[in-house]
Amino acid sequence: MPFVLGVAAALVVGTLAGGRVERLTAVKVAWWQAAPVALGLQLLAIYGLPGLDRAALVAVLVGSQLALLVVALRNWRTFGVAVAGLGVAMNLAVMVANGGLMPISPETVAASGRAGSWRIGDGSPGTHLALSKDVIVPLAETRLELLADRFHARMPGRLDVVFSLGDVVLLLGVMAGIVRAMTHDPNTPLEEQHETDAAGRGAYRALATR
Amino acid sequence: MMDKLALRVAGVNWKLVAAVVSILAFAVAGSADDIGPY
Repeated sequence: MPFVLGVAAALVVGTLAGGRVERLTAVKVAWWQAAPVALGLQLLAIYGLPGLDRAALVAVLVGSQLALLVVALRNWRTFGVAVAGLGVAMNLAVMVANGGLMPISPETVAASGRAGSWRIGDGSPGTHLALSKDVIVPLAETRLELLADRFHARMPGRLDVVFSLGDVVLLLGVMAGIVRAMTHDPNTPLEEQHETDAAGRGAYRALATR
Repeated sequence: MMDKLALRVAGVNWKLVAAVVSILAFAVAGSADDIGPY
């Protein structure tokens, strides 16, 4: 849900800044098809096959996030993609370091109110939280703990999410990329845009000092 | 095919829909957040 709201907010900001949403279609992103395929596989593994073997679940989650990282590296020159890719890499790093699922501490699970047995089982270490990418790992045993699912939004309803530092970086990159794409002509080289921006600032200063 | 044609007639920009869906898919699949309804 936060990602849907973040994308919606970026579309609103881009529009208010004078941008046009149609410009999103002009951004050339190589291998973009990997994104919906990755999400489809994750939804299938988490929702479609709830009793899926742990090794298969890890393979789907790590493999799909690795594919997204490759897409980000392939398109890193596109505005916002490098930052978004860094967010994916941060999430992937902590997942791989802790066996392939996103670690969440028992304290964070309790604080976020995820208490139902259908969701957390007996709550013991190593339990996969139902309908999520998370696995319960004690704080002291979590590798790269700073990058784990450790922040709790404390918001009402569907906004009451637990998130990681990588999620924040990823969302910032995506939002910046959307606003930039909406407000800049994608057919103008970046260097030329910088020159135009600099020329515009110079002209503004000249007018302001008259 | 007919549905797609009907939506195109209704003015749906499929390239834009694909772009927004792909951006959302990248963000959600790349995140550590819970995905989908629960």
